[in-house]
Amino acid sequence: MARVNFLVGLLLLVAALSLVTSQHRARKLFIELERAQAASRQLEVEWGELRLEQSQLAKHSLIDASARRDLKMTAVAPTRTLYLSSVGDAAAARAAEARAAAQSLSVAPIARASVQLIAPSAARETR
Amino acid sequence: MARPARTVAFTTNPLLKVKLPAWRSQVAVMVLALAFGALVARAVWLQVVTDDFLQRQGESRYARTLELPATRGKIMDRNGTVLATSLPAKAIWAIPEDVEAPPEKLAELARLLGVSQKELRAKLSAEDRKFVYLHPQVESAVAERIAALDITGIHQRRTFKRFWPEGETLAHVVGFTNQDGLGQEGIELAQQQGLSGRPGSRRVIKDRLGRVIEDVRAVNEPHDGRDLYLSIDTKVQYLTFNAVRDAVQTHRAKAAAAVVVDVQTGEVLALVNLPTYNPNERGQLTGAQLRNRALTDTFEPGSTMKAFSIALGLDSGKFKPDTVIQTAPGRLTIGSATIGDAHPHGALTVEQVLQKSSNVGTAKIALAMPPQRMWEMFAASGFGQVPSIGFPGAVAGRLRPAKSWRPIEQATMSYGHGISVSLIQMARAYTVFARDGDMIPLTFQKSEQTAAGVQVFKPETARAVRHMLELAAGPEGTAPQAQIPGYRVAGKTGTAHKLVGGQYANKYVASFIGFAPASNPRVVIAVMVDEPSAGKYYGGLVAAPVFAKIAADVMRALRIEPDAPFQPPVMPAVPVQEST
Repeated sequence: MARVNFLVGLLLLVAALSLVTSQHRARKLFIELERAQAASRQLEVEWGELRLEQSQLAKHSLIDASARRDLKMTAVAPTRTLYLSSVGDAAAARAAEARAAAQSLSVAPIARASVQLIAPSAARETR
Repeated sequence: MARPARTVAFTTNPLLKVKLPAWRSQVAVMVLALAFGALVARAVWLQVVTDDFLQRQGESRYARTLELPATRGKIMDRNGTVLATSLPAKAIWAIPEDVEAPPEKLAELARLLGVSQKELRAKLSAEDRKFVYLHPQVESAVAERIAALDITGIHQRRTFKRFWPEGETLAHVVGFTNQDGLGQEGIELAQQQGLSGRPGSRRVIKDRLGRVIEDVRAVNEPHDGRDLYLSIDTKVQYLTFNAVRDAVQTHRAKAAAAVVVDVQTGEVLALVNLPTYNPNERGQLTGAQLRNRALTDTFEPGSTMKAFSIALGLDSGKFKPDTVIQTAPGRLTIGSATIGDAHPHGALTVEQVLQKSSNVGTAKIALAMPPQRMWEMFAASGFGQVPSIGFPGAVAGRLRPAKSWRPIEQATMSYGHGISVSLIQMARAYTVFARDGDMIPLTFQKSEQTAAGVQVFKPETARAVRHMLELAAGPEGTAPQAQIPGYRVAGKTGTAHKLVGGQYANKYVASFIGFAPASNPRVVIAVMVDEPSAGKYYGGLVAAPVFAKIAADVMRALRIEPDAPFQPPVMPAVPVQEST
């Protein structure tokens, strides 16, 4: 009887100690989780800051000013632009042909080309 | 030396023989029993009856409730550019009585807070107050340096600071929030519900070092506000803003506004108001700066309204685009009143009536229509009704019921007097002509699908008016300056006297509403310039060039294919005079 008591007492002791250690480990892991979550929040805040900064730096007024003033650029005029449209765009092709017809210009069938030039036809082709 | 026999055996101790009264021991037992009883009662009292008090006291030693703040949603434009965002910041506050610091530390604090030392000292010497805000929102980096100063009595609280990177360009659309994060103007106000988050909380146990080691109960998760994508295109907005600002300077105008609307989806791509303000620095704001004129100000539209009267005439079948109307001698007397054209035109076709902007011609067409029918057309076009665009402060304008119209009023209304509209109503109404006679609702939120419209005019009527509007913006029309290279444009000028105290004053509102490219309209652009005072005031001279500048830039920005051969736009030597 005494032996059984001793064994049970020992088991109880072991169980109690393992409870304490596992509780301790759980708390340590929890702290680690907390730290990781805080870091994730911090990163999210930083991401927000960076997006704001990007918006501030990419403001059209800044880009426009530096393009015009520092880089001496000018806006693209339609007269100096070639407009491309894909072959599949049948409506655009028809529109181009209709326009060319209206301007009594000939447009070569360019259906096989991967891209076709349209639009500024009048100005370019009459030159 | 013999020891005296002092030793007495216990059992023979004479003291034992002393007889004590029985009640003494009974009293002792009773007292002890009572004491035990009292202890038990006390224990029961503390641990059973009033246990929550001690529980609370114990918990307050190790358990804490943490606030989990929710971030307000971001506002972005259609391409994801941030228009408004909230970042964590710290509110700095003080308990004036507690503040004790050497002067150099206070000087440093004043510097970090961006106030003068005198100002800071004045705030801290307010003895009668237990609590003073020193700064509502300082950025985290500055807050850390303030914390590093370690001044007693100076405290920090977590909060958010909202930024509007686009500043004055988009101030009227996005609006702003107050210090408590509540929307005050614009989208921030209109979408307050969705943007604001719901803060959460959690109950935790902290250890000796202040680390969280356990959640006591389930976490009440915070819900961040929803992010919002607007229909605005910052590039279009910037280009529009530039054009309008230039116009205000050139013409020394009191105010101006412009709206750019996508014809297919009804999305508002740009909305500009001047004067404007910077939402990030709202030191002194005036009502004029805050006002979103495109939505909240109504004006008599003038000639831009003619397109609707003529469309009504065409729709009824009584008029064809080539029906000839006699406008000579340039005057028309209705009852006791006479209306007139600025320049007599003689016989004009319906097409030319709109092209030359003849008041008499338009009035003659309108008077052939029953007033009720005309009122229905106005109402269907959205006039006199609050536009449902989910924006605070949008007004209905004034459109009186048809029963009260006198013939002269019907005539003046046909060319845009005696009726008042807002610029956004006008822009929306012109989608009728840019589309095939149906009108779509406008929206400030990004939408992918094309909007479904309500038919107002027959498709062929809309096409006919579109052609007339193209003529009006052409070399023979009232607004040749609206033309741009590479694209066909259509539109109508408007020049209206302003009503001041019920009387027409010598002040004008110049406007131009149009769309481009005319062959397949993509955007409607509405421009309004209030009180141009540098000499010119006609819509064709003031507003049309603004339209042209915006249209040219927007066509390029949206990469729209040109629909016109390239020729230098033809300018007539003498511009056609328009009627006011």
